[in-house]
Amino acid sequence: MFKKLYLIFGIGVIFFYSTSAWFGWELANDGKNSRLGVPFIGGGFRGGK
Amino acid sequence: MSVLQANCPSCAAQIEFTKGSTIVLVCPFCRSAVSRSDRKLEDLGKVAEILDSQSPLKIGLKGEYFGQRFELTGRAQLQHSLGGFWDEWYANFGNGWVGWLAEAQGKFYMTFYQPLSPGEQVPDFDYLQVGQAISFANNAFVVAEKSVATSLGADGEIPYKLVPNERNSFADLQGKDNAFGTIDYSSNPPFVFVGKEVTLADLGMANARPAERKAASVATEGLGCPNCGGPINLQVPDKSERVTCPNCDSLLDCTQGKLAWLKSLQPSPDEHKFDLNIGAEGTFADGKKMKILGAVVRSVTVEEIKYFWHEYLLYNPSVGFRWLVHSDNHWNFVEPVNLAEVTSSGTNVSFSGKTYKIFQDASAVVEYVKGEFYWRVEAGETVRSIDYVKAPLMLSTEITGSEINWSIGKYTTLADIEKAFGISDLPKPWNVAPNQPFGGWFYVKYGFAMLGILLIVSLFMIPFTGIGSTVLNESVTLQPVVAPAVSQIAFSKPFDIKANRNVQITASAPVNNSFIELDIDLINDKNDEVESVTIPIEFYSGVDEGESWSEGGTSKDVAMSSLPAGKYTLRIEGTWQNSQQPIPVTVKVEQGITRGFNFCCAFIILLLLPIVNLIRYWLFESSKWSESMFSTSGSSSESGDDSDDSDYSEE
Repeated sequence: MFKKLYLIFGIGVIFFYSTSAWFGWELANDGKNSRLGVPFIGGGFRGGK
Repeated sequence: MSVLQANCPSCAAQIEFTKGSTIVLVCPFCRSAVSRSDRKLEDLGKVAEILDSQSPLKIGLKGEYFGQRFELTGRAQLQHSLGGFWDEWYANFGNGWVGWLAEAQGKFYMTFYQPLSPGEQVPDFDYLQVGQAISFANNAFVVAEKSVATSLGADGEIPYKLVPNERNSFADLQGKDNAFGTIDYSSNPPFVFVGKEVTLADLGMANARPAERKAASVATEGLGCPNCGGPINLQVPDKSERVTCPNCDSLLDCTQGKLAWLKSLQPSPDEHKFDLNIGAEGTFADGKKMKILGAVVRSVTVEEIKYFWHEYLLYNPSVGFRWLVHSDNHWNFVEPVNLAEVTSSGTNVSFSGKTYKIFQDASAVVEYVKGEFYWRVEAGETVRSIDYVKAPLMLSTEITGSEINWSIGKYTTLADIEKAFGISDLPKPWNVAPNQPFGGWFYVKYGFAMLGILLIVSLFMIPFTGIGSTVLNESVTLQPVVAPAVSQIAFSKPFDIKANRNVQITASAPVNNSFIELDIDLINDKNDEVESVTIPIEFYSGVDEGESWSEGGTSKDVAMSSLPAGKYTLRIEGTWQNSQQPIPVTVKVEQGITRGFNFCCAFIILLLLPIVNLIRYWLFESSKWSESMFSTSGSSSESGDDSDDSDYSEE
């Protein structure tokens, strides 16, 4: 069971990386007010205008 | 010689030698062994009744071997010097061949007389060593056993002069590809028989089935325990040589079904309590049901410390005997191995294309027995036992002066044992078994596989992440203000932003021992939505105690996720230290920049579990080999803990 979960998690990581590359999302995001709402590290909350 | 009808010299009944090669016929009426020569018939004496071995074979059964038809016309029963007996069936071939089909412990061996080439000699029995390499007619063998056989009984027609109760020395040989041989020292020079281990299917006898075995419940006075009179339930009375009385813990000899008291056993200490019951039946991986006939407590002494383990003797008429070894609450299912298939390389051995590392070499002693056994087991019985490991397998050899045996044990999980016997709550292991496979390889293999996939995906994604383009590169000058706290604002010219591309803004200003903080807004000209970033730029330098220093820089970049496509304008609001002076600011906006942060995060996340499991593997191997008398390289080691350079691999 844990092995299946691990595989699903790993594939999920690869999928999320691919998706972020495709859509131009940055985890280390310095923007403060983006409406895209993707995760951030460097900037702050990305809400609407 | 030809077919002959005559009268039995003992009882005068009519008997018939139906095969030309038959030398001895057992009279079916008086059980005299009648020998024929060119001149007369000779009575060799009475032979015992054949003991019922529940054999699937019988006289008259026909088969085929390498395309040649044969018929079983006689049967001799011989007793081993260590107890137990086996059958040898006389196979008469249509083309004149004469073969022997030996049946022992559920295995079958077809052999033929092998005339020796001129100059070829058979070693004397006394000089023959178990494990010795020997060859006949280009067949390489290893001596597996040397012992003495006693003629117990016979039936039908026999092609040699069988003398009842005659004792003859013999040696069994094993070769590669199931080759098998026997040296019969009943004559001088000895006879050599060479052939193969076969299955009933090989002989076209796959339909021959052993008779349904019924446990012989011996409850009568004559066959009860001779010590306490209690009933004894023999599971395989035809094969058992020793049985323990469950009522008074006596060790009994049960040769030929007759019970004889040998001695009282010391009660098993509590720590030797068996977890599986005698008579319990387990279903193993191939679907075969095997019954527990007996259990043994054995021990080895290493550095004056005694280590105990349990062995269960399993039996199925069509499979033969197997073992279940229970040590430190780890379990192994053990099967015999052809010793000729095992080759030695230094202190390690190879079998079936795999190399096994030596783990233990010690004297194993029988401490306690319970149940019934096919050999004359005794407490105190000692053999040299050597274990070699390659998880999940353990290759073991047991050596006595007259016999060498190899067996292979497969590590079996507690869950599999519980499932096989339909039980639960067996005690859990507390340490690492010598051949226990490491359970974390899945995470190492699949973890690195996913890292490889991530690398490939990242290469394919370069067109989307790594081809950068500059969409704005503009310089603006912020005009002086009255005080540092007051900001100044400038706007860029409009520029286009593409969707699905990250955005990087690089700002530079000629600051020197001062700072400027830029609050930059990207304003979507269409809907006035704003994305904001703050870019602080500071640069300080100087000389301190003769050493120059500097910190910060005159430019800095920030990045953000993609924005909706459209026309944008930058609103640049600056607050700087020397606000009385104008300051030029250069702003560059780029898209599709390779930053690698996302990739590094994914890489580290995927690397985490493989690394943790590699560390676990190292600890696992260290723990395993700390119990060994040898290092992982196979050399003798005092501490045994040198697993850090182990190249041990698992299935």
